[in-house]
Amino acid sequence: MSRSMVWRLIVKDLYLYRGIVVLATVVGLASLVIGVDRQEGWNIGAILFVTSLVALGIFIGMYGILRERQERSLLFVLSLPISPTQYAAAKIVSALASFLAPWLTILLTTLVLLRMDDGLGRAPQILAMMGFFLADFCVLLALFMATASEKWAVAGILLTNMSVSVYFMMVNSLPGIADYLGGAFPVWTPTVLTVIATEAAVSIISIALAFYLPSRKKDFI
Amino acid sequence: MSSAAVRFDRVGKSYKYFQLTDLSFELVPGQIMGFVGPNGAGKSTTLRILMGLVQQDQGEVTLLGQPMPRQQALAKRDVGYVSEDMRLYSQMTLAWHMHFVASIYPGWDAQYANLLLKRFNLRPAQTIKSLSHGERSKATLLLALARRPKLLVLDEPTTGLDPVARHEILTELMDVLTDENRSILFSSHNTKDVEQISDVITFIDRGTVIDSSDKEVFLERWCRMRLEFPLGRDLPALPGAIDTAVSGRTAVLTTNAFTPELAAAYEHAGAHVQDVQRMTLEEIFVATVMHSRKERGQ
Amino acid sequence: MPCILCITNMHSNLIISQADRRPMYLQLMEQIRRRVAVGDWQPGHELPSIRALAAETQVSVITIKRAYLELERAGVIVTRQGKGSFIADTVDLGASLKREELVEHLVAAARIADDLQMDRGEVLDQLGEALDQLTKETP
Repeated sequence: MSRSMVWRLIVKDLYLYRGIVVLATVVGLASLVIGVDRQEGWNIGAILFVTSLVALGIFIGMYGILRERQERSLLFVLSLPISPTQYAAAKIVSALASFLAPWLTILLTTLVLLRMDDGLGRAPQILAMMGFFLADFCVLLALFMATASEKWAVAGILLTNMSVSVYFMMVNSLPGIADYLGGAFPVWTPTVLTVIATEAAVSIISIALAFYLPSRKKDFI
Repeated sequence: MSSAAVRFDRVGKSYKYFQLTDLSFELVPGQIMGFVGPNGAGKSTTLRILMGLVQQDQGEVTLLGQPMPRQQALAKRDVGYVSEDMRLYSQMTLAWHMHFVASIYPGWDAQYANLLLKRFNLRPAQTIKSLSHGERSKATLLLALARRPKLLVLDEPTTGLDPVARHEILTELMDVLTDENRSILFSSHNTKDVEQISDVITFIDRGTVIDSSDKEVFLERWCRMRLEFPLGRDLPALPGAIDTAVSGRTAVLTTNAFTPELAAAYEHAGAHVQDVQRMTLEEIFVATVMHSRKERGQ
Repeated sequence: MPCILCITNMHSNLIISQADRRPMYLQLMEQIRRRVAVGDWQPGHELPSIRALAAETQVSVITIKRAYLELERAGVIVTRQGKGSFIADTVDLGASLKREELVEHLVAAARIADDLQMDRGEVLDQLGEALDQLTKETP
C-alpha cells in the first residue's frame, strides 16, 4: 500500500497544480514564438519566458509545499497511511515533475525551432540558461523541504530573483558562451561545459538534500 | 499486552517552553476515552505523537499494536484522525475528497457515507471553502467515519460547534461503539460531552497525566460533604480530603475517596454528615487540577 | 417536568436527562423499574443490548453496564451469558418495586425533617395530613 500511497499523493498534487503547469507551458511557448521571429523580439520573449519559469518554480514551492503546511491540509494528508518521509518524497517528485514538464517542453521546442532555423549555434547558451533555471528550482525545492519558515522561503525566492539578473549579466555574456552564438552548429567550449556541469551538480545535490533533510526532522508539525 | 488500542508508556517530549513528562495511559479496545485538560496541557501534542507527526524524546508509544512513529504508515490504515486545526483543500469539493479517501481505504462504506451526508446535511458538490466552520468539521469527520476505522482519534471534535451539530456528531460517535472492537480517543475541554459519552477519562495538566479512571468511578468517588461538628473540636483528618472550607460549625469537604464507610467514619468521629453532593465532571476536573498543582508546588 | 436537554430514543423510549443532577445510571434504572411497575415490560422481556442502548441514549457503555449490573443485583433483571438481559420472572415485581420507591421517598423526607429539626410527632402529623389530602383528592 505504501508505494501506491506515494504515487497517489503525487497524482493528487499534479492534479492540484495542473492549472499553473499548463499556464507556464503556454506562456513559455508563446514567448518562443515571439522570440524566434526577430532578433529584437527575442528580448520580450526572453523576459516572458524567464518570468514563466521562475513563477512556476515559486508557485509550486509556495503553494504546493508551504501552503499545504500553513493551511493545515498537511494534517489531513499526514492522517493518511503514510510516514512524513513518504510525504516529503511525494512532494519532491510532484514538484519536480510539475517543473520538468514545461521545462522540457520549452527546451525541446526551442531546440527544434533553432534547428529548423539553422541556428543551433545558440544551443549551448540555451542549454546553459535552462540548466540555470533547473538548478535554481532544485535549490528552492531543497530550501522549501528543509524549512517550514516563511521568512526563509521568502528570502530564498528573493535570492532566486536576484540570481537570475546576475546570471544574465555575468554568465550569459561570458566569452565562452556569448561568442559562439552564430552558426548552424553548436560549439561546446570548456566554459559552457563547466557551467552546465556545475548546474547539473547543484541540481543533483539539491534534490538529494531535499530528500535527506526532512528525514532528519523529529517534528513534522 | 499488545491488545491495547493505544498505549503511552512514560512518554516525554521537550519543547522550549513546554514539556510532556512521564505521560502514561492505555486505551482498551471497545472503549471511549475522554482526554481532558486545560488549554496548553499537552492534549494536542499527545495526539500528534500518537499519530507519528511528532516524535517523542522518551518513552514508548503503541498504536493498534504498532510501535510509533516507526510503523505509522501501517498503523494509520485503521485509524481515523480528525483534529480541530486540520483543513481540507479549500478549492476542492467534498465529493473530490470523498473520492480521494475512498480510493485509498478499502474499508470505505459508500452507503454509510451517503447516509452521513444526509444526516450532516452536507452537499458533496460544494467546495470546502464555501462551507461554514461547523460544516467543515462535519465534513472532515465524515471522511474519517465512512472508512469505519478501528480507532478514531479526535482532537476537540465538538469545539466551536452549535448544539445541533454537536448532537449529530455525538450520535455518530456513539454509533461507532456498537462494535465492541472499535475504540475512540478524543480530547476535549468540553466536560459535558466527556461526562456523557466517555467510558474512561484521563485528566492531563501541564504535560502530565494527573488522573485516569472509569468515568463512573470518578463520579462516584468525588463529592462534596457538608459536615456539622461541635464547636471546640477539630474536623477529623481522614484520607481522601482534597479541600476543606470551614465556616463556624459547618465544613464543606471535597473528597475524591467517598464511600458510605467514609461518611460513617466521619459520623463516628463526631462530624454529622448533613449532605452529600455529587460533583459534575467539570467540578471534579477543576478540583483535580488545582489539587495536583498544589501538590507539585505550582 | 419539562426536560430541556433530554435525549430521547425511538426504540425503548428511555430518556436520560442532562438537566437531572442524579447519576445517569440511576435515572436509567428508575426508568426501567417504572416500565416494569407499570407493566409495559413483562417478565421475560428482552432488554436492548448494552451497546445498542448506549448508542440510542448517547450515554457511555460503562454507564449502561452499571445500570444493568445494579438492576441485576436488585433482582429486577437477569443476564444470561451470550444471550442478553431480560426482565426477571419475579412475581409481584411491580409491587415490590413500588414499595422500594416508597422507602426511598420516606428516607429523603426523613432527611429533610432532620434538617428542619422536626420531631417524630411532627413528621408523622405531616404524613397523616398528606394521606388525608390524598383521600380527599381521589373520588
